[in-house]
Amino acid sequence: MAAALHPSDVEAESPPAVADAVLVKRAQRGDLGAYDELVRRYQERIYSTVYHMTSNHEDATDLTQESFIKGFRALKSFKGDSSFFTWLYRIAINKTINFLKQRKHRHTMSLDNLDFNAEHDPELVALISERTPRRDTSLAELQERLNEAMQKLSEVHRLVVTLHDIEGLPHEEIGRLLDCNVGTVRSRLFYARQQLQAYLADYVK
Amino acid sequence: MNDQFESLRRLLALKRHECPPPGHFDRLADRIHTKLQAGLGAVAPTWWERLVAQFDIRPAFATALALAVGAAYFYGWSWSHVVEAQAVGPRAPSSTPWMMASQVPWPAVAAEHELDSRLPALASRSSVHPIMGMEPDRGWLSPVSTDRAGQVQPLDFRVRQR
Repeated sequence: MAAALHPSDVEAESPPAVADAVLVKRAQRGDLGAYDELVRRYQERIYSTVYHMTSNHEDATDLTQESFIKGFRALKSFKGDSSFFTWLYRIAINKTINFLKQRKHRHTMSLDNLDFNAEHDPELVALISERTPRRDTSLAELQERLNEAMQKLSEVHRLVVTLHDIEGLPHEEIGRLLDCNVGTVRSRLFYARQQLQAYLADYVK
Repeated sequence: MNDQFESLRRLLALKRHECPPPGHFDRLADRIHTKLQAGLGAVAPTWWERLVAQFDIRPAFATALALAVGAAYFYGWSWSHVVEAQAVGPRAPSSTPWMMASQVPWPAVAAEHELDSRLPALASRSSVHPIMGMEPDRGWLSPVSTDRAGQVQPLDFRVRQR
């Protein structure tokens, strides 16, 4: 999934035909086509983060949709102090955290399927083969155990693990997104990893 | 990442392989587009909806607003107590029947006694019984009658003997 890449990395690899700032200006004047382009540009990354936070496909889809709609309605207040993606990412993160606080005790997982590459990922293959020879079954089981462990973390700890260890954002970028310093990000990440390691002791040496 | 979390890092890599069904993002973009198009024709959001929308973007704004509202409420509450305390001054007992209202209430009497000692000329006037207190004031220059009572006498302005 492209979400594992940093936004600036993606822009460096394949610069978009029209810059975000131009599309944002047009969208601010009510050009829905311009905003549609922004949606298609960032929906995968927004969905990915929300999905890893919720472990629920339907919730992630709804929250992604609501984030983009809210973004469009609030577009007039976007002054360009940060990039459009960072601004939109904040909306999605805050919306997701509010949602998670509300659903606290009624959580059901609805996981996306693993793509074909998962079975051939050398790191995963090595990890699984050390544990069990039944590779197919174990991948599905591992996916479920991993998501269960993630859901046991608090929202803030799950968020830093998602942004850093899954999405691949650097500490500084996470600090800017969450409006906290790098030290806080690092300490949250360390604590979250310790927790995850304890929950997944059967799979992690 | 520290070596102690190397296995965990490999395990978390599995989550990057979780993908929604094919065509999901095309459908999602279309849904968003349809919703926005429907929303453009709808009524513009109210000031309250715009305010609530800010909360998702800037939680700090929501917190600041909540604190400001709380402070305003507390200030109003404490101010109402101050005003209430000022309003509860010396007043007639509440048990006084309304028919007695024409009588001079005790604080007024006390005030007039105080006035008596300081301004003898004004003391004869009652603030509560204005009709009764309408007799002419005897100032330093006042008409003084002679001994011939009952007879019309010309007015004679002289300094009155005290």
